[in-house]
Amino acid sequence: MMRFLLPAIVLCFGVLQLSAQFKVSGKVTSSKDGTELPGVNVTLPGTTVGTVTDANGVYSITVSSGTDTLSFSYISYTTQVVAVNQRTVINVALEPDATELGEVVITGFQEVDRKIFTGAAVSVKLADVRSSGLTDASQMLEGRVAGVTVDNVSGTFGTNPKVRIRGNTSINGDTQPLMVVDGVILEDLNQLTADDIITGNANTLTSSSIAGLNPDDIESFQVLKDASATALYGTRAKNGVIVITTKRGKSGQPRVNYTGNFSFHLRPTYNQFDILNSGDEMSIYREMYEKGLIDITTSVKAQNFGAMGKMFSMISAHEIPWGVNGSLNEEFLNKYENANTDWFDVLFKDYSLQQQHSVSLTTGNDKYNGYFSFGYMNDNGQSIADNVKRYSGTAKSTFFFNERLSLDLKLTGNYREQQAPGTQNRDFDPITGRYKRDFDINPLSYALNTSRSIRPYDDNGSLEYFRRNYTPFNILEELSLNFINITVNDISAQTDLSYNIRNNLTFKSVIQGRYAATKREHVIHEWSNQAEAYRSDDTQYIQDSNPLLYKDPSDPTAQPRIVLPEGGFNNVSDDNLRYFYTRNSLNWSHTIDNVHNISVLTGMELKYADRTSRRADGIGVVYENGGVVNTDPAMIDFLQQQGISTYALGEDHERFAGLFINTGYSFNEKYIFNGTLRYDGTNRLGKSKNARYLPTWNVSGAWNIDRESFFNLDSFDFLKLRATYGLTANLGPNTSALLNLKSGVTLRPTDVETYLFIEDLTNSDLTWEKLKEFNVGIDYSLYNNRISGTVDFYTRDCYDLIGPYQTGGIGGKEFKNGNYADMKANGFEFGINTVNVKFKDFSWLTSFNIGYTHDRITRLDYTPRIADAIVQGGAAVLGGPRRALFSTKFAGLNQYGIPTFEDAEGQPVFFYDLQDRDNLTSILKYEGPAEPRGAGGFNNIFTYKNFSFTVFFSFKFDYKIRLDDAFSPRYTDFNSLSKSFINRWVVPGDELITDIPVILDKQVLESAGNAEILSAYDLYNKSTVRVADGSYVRLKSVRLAYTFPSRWMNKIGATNAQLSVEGQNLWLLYSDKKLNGQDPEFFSSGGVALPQPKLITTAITIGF
Amino acid sequence: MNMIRKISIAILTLTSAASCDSFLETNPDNRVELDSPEKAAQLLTSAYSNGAYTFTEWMGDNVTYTTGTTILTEHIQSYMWDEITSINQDTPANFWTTTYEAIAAANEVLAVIDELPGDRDLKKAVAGEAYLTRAYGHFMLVSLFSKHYDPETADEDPGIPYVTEPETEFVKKYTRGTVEEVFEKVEADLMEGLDLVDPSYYANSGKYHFNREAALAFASRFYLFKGDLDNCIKYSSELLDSDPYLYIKDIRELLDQTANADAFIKEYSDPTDASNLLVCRQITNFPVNVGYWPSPNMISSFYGSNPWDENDVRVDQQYPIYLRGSGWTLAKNEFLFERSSLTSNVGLYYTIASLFRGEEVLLNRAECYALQNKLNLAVADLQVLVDMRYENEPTVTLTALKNYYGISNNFQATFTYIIEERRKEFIHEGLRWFDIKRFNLPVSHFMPGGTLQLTSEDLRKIMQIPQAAIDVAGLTPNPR
Repeated sequence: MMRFLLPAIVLCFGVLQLSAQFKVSGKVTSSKDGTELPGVNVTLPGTTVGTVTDANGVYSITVSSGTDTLSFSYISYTTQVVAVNQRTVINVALEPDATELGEVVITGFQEVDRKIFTGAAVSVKLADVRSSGLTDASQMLEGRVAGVTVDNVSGTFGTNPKVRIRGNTSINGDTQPLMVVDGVILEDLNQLTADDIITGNANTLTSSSIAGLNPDDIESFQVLKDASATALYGTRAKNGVIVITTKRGKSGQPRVNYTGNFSFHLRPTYNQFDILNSGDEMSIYREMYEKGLIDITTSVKAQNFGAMGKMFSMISAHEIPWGVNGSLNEEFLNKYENANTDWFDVLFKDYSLQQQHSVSLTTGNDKYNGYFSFGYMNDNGQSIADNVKRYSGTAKSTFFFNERLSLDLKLTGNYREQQAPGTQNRDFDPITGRYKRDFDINPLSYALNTSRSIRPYDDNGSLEYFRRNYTPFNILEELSLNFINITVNDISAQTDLSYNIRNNLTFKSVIQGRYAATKREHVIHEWSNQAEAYRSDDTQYIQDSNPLLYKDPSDPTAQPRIVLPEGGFNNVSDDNLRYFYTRNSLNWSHTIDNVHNISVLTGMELKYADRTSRRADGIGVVYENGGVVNTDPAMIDFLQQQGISTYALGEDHERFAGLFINTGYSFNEKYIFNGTLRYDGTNRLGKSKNARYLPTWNVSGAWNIDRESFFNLDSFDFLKLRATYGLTANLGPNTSALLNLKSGVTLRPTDVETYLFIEDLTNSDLTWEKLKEFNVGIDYSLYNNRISGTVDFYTRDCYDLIGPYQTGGIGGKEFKNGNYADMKANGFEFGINTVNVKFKDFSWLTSFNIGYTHDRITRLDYTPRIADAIVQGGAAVLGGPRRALFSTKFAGLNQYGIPTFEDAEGQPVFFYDLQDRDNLTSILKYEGPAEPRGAGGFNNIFTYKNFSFTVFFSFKFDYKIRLDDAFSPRYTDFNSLSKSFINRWVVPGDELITDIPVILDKQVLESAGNAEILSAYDLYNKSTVRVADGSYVRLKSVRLAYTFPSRWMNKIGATNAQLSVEGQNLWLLYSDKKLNGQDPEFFSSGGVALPQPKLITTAITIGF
Repeated sequence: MNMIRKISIAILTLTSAASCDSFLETNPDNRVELDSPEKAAQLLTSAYSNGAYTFTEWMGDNVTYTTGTTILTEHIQSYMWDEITSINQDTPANFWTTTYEAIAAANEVLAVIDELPGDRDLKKAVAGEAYLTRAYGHFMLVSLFSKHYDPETADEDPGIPYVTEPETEFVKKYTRGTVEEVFEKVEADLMEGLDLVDPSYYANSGKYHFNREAALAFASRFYLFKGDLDNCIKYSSELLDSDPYLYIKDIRELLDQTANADAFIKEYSDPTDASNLLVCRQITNFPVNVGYWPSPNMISSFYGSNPWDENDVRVDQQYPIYLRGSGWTLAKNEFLFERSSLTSNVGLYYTIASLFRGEEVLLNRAECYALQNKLNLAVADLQVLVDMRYENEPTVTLTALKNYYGISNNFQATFTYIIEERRKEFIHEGLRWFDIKRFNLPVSHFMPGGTLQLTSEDLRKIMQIPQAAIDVAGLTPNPR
């Protein structure tokens, strides 16, 4: 390439030589602290002549005449134009830009002057949102940008928060915005949709790639919201884009910065939750005893039992006697009645330490800039079962070969080690409408769901066991024997080449290669309950009911037998990502007569991502014995007969190519017009050439009203009106336009063979999910930036959305994925920043933002089942929002205390057909959207001398939450109970005063034809009385910081130092009382999900 | 400038040309390409519907109002001959969609098999199996969702869509055609399949695929339903002629040789049993404790007496009987469970069902002989069955049959006996319903509120087209 370019360079120099007449030199400094500024652009406006300052801020330039002017421009500083006036030495002190980054919009493809940017974009500097306790950068945007909703559905490290920009653009597809780091799309380690994130399954911990990023390496976030801002991302931009720019080297003295954050987790307490104490629980267990639900026979064959069951089993084993006259052994029970175990105390750490250390070195001169950093994070975890360490390193070098050619080289890597409680994936049971997770030992779920009459330790202080899965169980022991180890290795290398072919023509090239390996190892030790459960066959009862025992089908006379005679499991999942990305572009910009500016950006993009996943289950691993493996062949038969394979291989390949062109015209920076056209192709739709390509486009304009001569309101510094209309798109979920055959192994007692089945039929009509958006916005700034902000209104037309569609079945698929739905949304965003008070020593700054989106499904060729619509996450129904929450209509308790519900005719019933699709809206009550429509934040910064104090609130509103399932036809003495049980139905007549259903007696439970009554309890959990308003206001963070005076710092050779204390998630200011402490943001799905912790953080920053 | 333009154009075209089509050809995941006859053969494993037409039992006259089982909406709807709105397993809609799913697999194979590289004989055998599965699927659908074949009206009676090519549109409209058209196409595919099928390519027992015996049994059923007696006899005889006893289960021996009930029902549908001509995995709750069942009285009235006054081994004391609430079942099918995950109690019940049994072919032929008034031949066939079903191998005579029914007509006595044997032999297997349709039998169902009647030519004997197929695919519903 150099061969072609050299003549061009020579040509340019020739021009320069010819017009050389006299030389000006000088030094450029910062007016703030007088430091020399290297790399400042010094140009002669209207010509191609220009240079940059050296490491000492010195420049030298040849001008054509003494009447020329010189322009000094430097990023983050206000450009100065100085007349030469026949001087040969001109020293300039540049003013730091008041809005700094705000002046430039970084789209990832280009950097555009804010004044001529026509899209809706908000820039956030990390320094302004850095919450010292947060370890994952994506969580920091909560409440910071109007229109961006961040739901921290789990506080466990590595889980992607659910981020949405302007609500939803897809019904079943991904709604997460595109994450771009330094111009390159950051692929997630595992591709999970927003619905997958809330499952609490182990793979959620390796969903986020952002989690590998050291937040201290980030310079800024740029949130691109409307179609114009995201236009250059074409077919991936539908959900908006978040561009992250990392820190880079600066010319000048080498600088070392250290940041240390020390956080303490505060553990949850019972007064946040609606749980009975052990005394009240025991009185309910006594009622269950009286009703015949727990007795000596049920206890012997119970899958799980607590104190009461333990008493019976010990009586049955003649270890303790009956009480007086064959009554309960009160002496035994009293110990548990008064136990009042504080499970949060047992399972959560009191002041667990989380530390983050980050050291960075910044250096540079006129030929070279460098940024190097190393970060270490160690979180001991909120609970005794989780912890994580992250090591991250970055080396970023910029080489300036000459004033035209520069090259960035970036190497980043991070390594993570994490431990999480062992978990299985959850299953949805369409019969009861509940999610089930077997062997769940999630500390939070355990604390919330386990009876307080169960004790972790016995009277002698040794571990005390109760029964779970027909086997002795102690949570402390189980957590130490059943856990998941996660390691993540993520390395990437990136080069950015920039070459000024001519002053107004630049060629840029970005190349990135990345490799990320994720490994999850689930250790199920041989002594863990989960392994021992395979070995419990103590009694005939247990033999008959333990589903983990194997009954040999070829020997019908055989007793169920153990198939895991020794050892536990070692289940390993490996996920690898190989990623390659390149983008090459040309940017041309030309100004005519100083008023007409035309710019063109054109280029191409290629993306290549290969993912492989491998799952292998080791069976019969004896950890105590050097990891020897003893697999019973019958175990393999046992698994095969149930269609379970112990090994799985997955592949995923993504190929993407795009061409783009963007042109802009601005008249005197007053009227701006912009247009973008992109043409993208992908392999995701299969080998179909029809569906593969899609053009997207966008037109936009802006009017800088403040530059009009008629507009002479002095109070306005800046006023811009802008409008956009354009098309963006995204690939939908499960998209394949061509026949998709998958292979499997037949599930039969004999004649096992490999076979193929049709996963998807050819769908020649398939196309991308699309979004047409119209946006009008105003950017304003008044009274010398004392008041500034933006207002946006938009309407979005999402169409060709992909989802399951019920066909007539004749073509061979009852349900097909295709473009089956449309959705309309409109909303507004409002953001305002004000400087309320500004004195020499004291200032008070406020920023407030709010965004609201109302979405409505306008076409949906498929209705969900009742079972789908009543779950926590809601379902898509025509005319409603993307996720509408429905409730069964509670019609009061009947004369026996059993809940009843209104059917379509308003008659009381116990039972709905949960598979019904046709009468959903007439049977169920629509409660509202299950996802917040509105969200925002309110921040206040007070500074007094060297102190600053920040209070930040975030809020969400207009949505409903399904309360956790608390009622069941059958309770055990293992499970905790809600406080509302105190008001439960006990005697006839209570139905007039209470809504809390009766505890069913044995007779009802075991009577024939009781299925409807039992289902009434499941419906009750999903009823109108089990819904709460989700709106909340949270005191997200409070921070007090002190900046040490520089005269102190100079004594120890430091340039700056700051100390701060911050509290996070301290107080839920407002939330629905019905939630009883249930965190409205958190989905208590068990598994590996833990709520966001309350954190107290001390942070120190020091620079040399 | 010119130079620069050239450079930029060169860079852009170089990089983008290299990309495009070939770059985007890569498969997005680990899907399988249908590019060899071996894979085509594997795809045909999916050409057998995993749906069951068990709802016909709950609609038919083999059950009564029993209690104590799990009764879902579809069970009540089947029993009351209401429109069955549920789409769960054991419903017409489920049978419809799973059968068309199986047909789609056959069509994908037939669409490409000629062009695939590979062994020609294997390709022929694969095509043969594909034709047979396609014919069988459509035949069972037309038998359930259309009027029984009547040569007088078949060219007017609405049939079901006969699909012969893969569906490539997202939403496709279909038309039903006539019963005559469907039967013509079934016959064509069946003959093509019979001609090509080559079971030497089947691995294992070959019973999970259309082997030649199963194809003959299918032809026997097809021509019986069509009323083509000669052809029915022809294909039945092709199967049975060597030794009819070979294809009749020896229940006595099965009972004596198996250790317990579990072992017996396992053997009953086992591929190694020669009477099981074609077996198939069906996802069904039928063998589990759901729906309506025959009452003990009903069982004793069915099996309590016979012209031979001998013990019927099908209700032998040793024969395993399951209690379904207040109902009884003669155990025939295993109920197996597929868990959604190892430790989960959520999953699907399935069973291994015999789609064709030798006994049916024998009774088909006997029926045809009777209808052709070749009563001695019919009696000979009946003798085979009677030997295997009744103690002491009683001799079948027309006199005994006439005496038993109190009928003087030889044909009528024989015919009545054949239909009765069909009912006894195939109880719980769903076949009785087709006899109810073929012979316009009325059905009455007891309900606590009053007895319900299904008249002999009741329109509700024709299953209604599933709602989704009416709404989305544009099919005309059956009259009600």
